[in-house]
Amino acid sequence: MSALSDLLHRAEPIHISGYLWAYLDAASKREIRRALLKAVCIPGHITPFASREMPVARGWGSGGLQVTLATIVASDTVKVIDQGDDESLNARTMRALIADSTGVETATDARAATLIQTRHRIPEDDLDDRTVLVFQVPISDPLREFEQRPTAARRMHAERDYAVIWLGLYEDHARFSRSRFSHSYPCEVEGGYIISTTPIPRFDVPRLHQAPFLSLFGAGREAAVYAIPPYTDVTPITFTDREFEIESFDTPCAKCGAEDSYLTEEIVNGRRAAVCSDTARCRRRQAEKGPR
Amino acid sequence: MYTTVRESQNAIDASARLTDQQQAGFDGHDRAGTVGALVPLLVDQVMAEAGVVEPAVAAKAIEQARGDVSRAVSLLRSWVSCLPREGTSVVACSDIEVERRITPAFAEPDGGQFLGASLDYAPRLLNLDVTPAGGRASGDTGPVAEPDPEPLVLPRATTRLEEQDLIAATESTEPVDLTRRASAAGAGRGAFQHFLSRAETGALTALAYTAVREGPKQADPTLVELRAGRLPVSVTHPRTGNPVRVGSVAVTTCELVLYHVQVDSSGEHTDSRFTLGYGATAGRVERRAISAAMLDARVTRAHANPPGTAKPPSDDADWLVTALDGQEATGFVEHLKLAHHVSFASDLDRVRALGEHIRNDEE
Repeated sequence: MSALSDLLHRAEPIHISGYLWAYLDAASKREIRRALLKAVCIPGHITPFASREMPVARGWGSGGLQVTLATIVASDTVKVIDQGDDESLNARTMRALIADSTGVETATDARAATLIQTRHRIPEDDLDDRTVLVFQVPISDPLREFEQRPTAARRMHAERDYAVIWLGLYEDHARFSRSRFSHSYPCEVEGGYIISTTPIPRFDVPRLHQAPFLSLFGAGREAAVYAIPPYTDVTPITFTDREFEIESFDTPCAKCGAEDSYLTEEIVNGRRAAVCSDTARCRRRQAEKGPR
Repeated sequence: MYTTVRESQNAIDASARLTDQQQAGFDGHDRAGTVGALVPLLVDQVMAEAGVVEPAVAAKAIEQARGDVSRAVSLLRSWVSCLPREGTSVVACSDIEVERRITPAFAEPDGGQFLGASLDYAPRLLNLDVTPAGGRASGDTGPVAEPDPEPLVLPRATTRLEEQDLIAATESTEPVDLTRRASAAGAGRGAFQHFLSRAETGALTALAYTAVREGPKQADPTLVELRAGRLPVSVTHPRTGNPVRVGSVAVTTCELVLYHVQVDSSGEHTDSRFTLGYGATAGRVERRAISAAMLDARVTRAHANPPGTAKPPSDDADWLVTALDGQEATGFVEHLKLAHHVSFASDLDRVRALGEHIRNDEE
C-alpha cells in the first residue's frame, strides 16, 4: 500500500483513473459555479450550495477543494498552503489531488500562482488582480458564536441584524478593554453583510480591504460559499474609539530576519524560536540574504 | 417464510436462524466468504448512512476502510457524489414486500404479524467455538422455510388510527434529495426525512434515547408498526413511458405515535390526537428506523407548540440537522488533527493581552 507515498512523491502528475478532469462532473461544477457567481454578485452573502462529498473528509478542506476544482482552468498555476506552508501534509495531499486530476502547473511562489488554495493564511507577498484566493472555511457564519440555529441566523443576516456581535464586542471592551476575538475576526463587507474571515489571523485581515485579488470562501461541510470581489471594502468591526488590534510579535523571524511577517514557534538550531509561517516567502528572503 | 409472533420457542429459533440465511441487500449473487457475507448488518449500516444501496461496492468500501464505518461511508458517498443522476423514482412505502412486520401497538393487526428474520429474542451468549465465516453457532443449519412465491403486501397498521381521526395532521412530505441541496435546515419535512435516513446510527439512537427516557409525562411513545422487506423500484421506460420494475431494495420502516395533549399559548387544550412519527432506512438496522420515527414525531410535535416553547435537542430540527450527519461530525472532530499553529498563535496573542489586563486590574 504505497498509494499515499506515490501521491506525495510522484515526479509527474498521475492520471486518476475513472474520474473526470478536475474530478467533479459537469453538473457539480455548474452547481458550484452558479453559487460562486451569486456570491461574487452579493459580496459577503453566505450563499448555500449543494456541497458534494469529496475524496477528503468533511471539515478537511472539502469546500475549498470544490471551489478550486469548479473554477480551475488548464492554464492555471496552483499553489496550496496550510498554515502558510506549502509542504505541510494536508497542503501536499490537496495539491497532489488538484494537480493529478487536472495536470496544471504548481508553484510555491505566490507571485507565480493564479489560483491559491489556503487554510489559515493569506500569502504575505503582494498579490495582483490575476490571482484568485480560495479559502478553506471551517465555520462560515460569524453569528454562530451567538446564534446556533441556522434558520434564525439566516434571518438575522437578511435583516443585517448584527446586534449580538456588537453587544459581544461591547461587553469585551467593558470587561477587558479589548476584544477577545482572536482569529476569524468578523468584518463588514462593502457596508453590508458581516463575514467571518475564516481562521486567518487578524494580522491578515487588513490585506482583504480593497484587495486586487478575488477571494472565494468554501465551506463544504456547511454547504456554503461566500466571496469578496476585488477592490471591495472589508472593515473589521470595531467601535470608532477602539482600534482594531492585530497580533504583535516582539522578535523578527529567526530564519530570514523579517520584522513584518506573521510568526509561529518552531525549533531552530535546537532552540525555540519565532519564524515566518509563510515558508515560501521566508525561504526566498533567506536566499536573497545569502549564507550567513 | 413467515412465522407469527405468537409462536413460542420454535419461532424464536427459526427467526434467529433465518438471519443466517439473510445477506446484506441480497441480490442473488453468491458472496460467501466476502465482507458482505460476514457482516451483512454492517454493510447495511454503511449503505444507509451513505444513502447508497449498492451492497458489493459497500462491502469493498468497508474492506478498503479497514472496517472504519465513517471512512467506508465517506468512500461510498464521494464515489457516488459525481455520478450522474440518471432518473428518479418515487416509491410508496406501503408497497413494501413484507418479510418482517411487528405491531407492538396492536396484538392482531389487519394482515397479521410476521416475526421474520430477527435476533431480538435469541439469547446473547457468545459462542467461543470456531465457526465458519458468517455462521451463528447453531446445530441446526437447515433452511427454515421455502421462500413464499407471492410477495406479501400489507396495509399500514396506522391506517386504523387515521380512520378514527386519532392522528394529528402532519406536514406533507415531498421527496427531497439532500445530496443536491445545500442544507436540510429549514427545508421542510421531506428534507428532514432524507437527512434522518442517512444520519449516523449511534447519534440517531442517542438522541432518540434522550427523547424516550424523558418518560410518559412528556410524550409517551408507542411503536405502531415496524416492517422490513423489499421495496420494488420502478422507472419510466424512456420509449414506451410505462413503468418498468428495475429491482428492489431492502428497507426497514417504522411508524410510532406520541400520546400527549397539545396545549396552546392560552393554556387551553387544543388537540388530544396522537402525533405520528415516520422513519425509514435502507437495510435492516432497525434501530435506525425507530430512532428516525421518534425524532420525526418529536419535531412534528414541537412544531405544533406555541412559539417560544423551549425545545430539547431531540425536538429541535435545526439542532438535529447540524449534529447527526456522521460525515460532518467525524470529519470536523478529526480535523482537529490538522495543524492549527497559525490560529493558535492568534489565540495566544489574546490570552496574553487579556491576562495582562486582568493582572493590571488586580494591582
